[in-house]
Amino acid sequence: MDVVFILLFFFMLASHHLEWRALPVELSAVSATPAPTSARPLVVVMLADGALRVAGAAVSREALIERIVGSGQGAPVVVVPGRSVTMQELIDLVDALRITGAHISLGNPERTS
Amino acid sequence: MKLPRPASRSVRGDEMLPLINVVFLLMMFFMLVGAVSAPEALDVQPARSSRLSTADNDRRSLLVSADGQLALGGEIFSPAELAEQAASWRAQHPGETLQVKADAAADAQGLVAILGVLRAAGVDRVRLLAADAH
Repeated sequence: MDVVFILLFFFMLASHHLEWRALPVELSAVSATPAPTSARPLVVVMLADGALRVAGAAVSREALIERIVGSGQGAPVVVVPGRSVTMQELIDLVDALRITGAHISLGNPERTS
Repeated sequence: MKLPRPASRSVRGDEMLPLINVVFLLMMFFMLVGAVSAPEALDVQPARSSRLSTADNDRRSLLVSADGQLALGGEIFSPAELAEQAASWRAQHPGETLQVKADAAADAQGLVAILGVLRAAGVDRVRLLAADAH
């Protein structure tokens, strides 16, 4: 009985339930050669304070989502993180944009700026 | 109606059996649900996302810690050594997908740079991982 309890506690403590899963984000846009898509991707620059820029103009998250929804299903969107943006902030934005059904990829700031 | 009194339990500890059964079930549950794994080389707290695709508990992953350090296959190194490490990883695991586990507080620009280095090193199947937000 004691042994069974000890085993039980061992498995309760040793097992961690943190599960990593893949983000549905296209990573190929990071490469030097842009993907040959017919539609021009919408490049969204994310700044450290959470502000978003599209082609240099500030845009709110809601307006951006409306704009992406307006351009149809599977529209290509490139998210470019700015300086000192953390992964959590980036993934939060990607999550918000995923609702629109857009085809999201990550972009390199050096190439797009 | 009077039921006959059940035969007195002579074996000591017999009344413990249901308890043991329950504890065994709990033990089986934790054995199956929790994957016991070796600790990772770097302490990486995942970013949380509510929109994740398929689960994959594969262990071939590149760890990116909050302070920008990297680990691949239990070996810790700086981003400057990534190209070399990625090339040797690719030589050892041709055609396999490399999973990137980045800390929630890691620099996103740094991660994009890492992805660029991986691609330049010929690792073209890369997945970015996060943990479920719930």
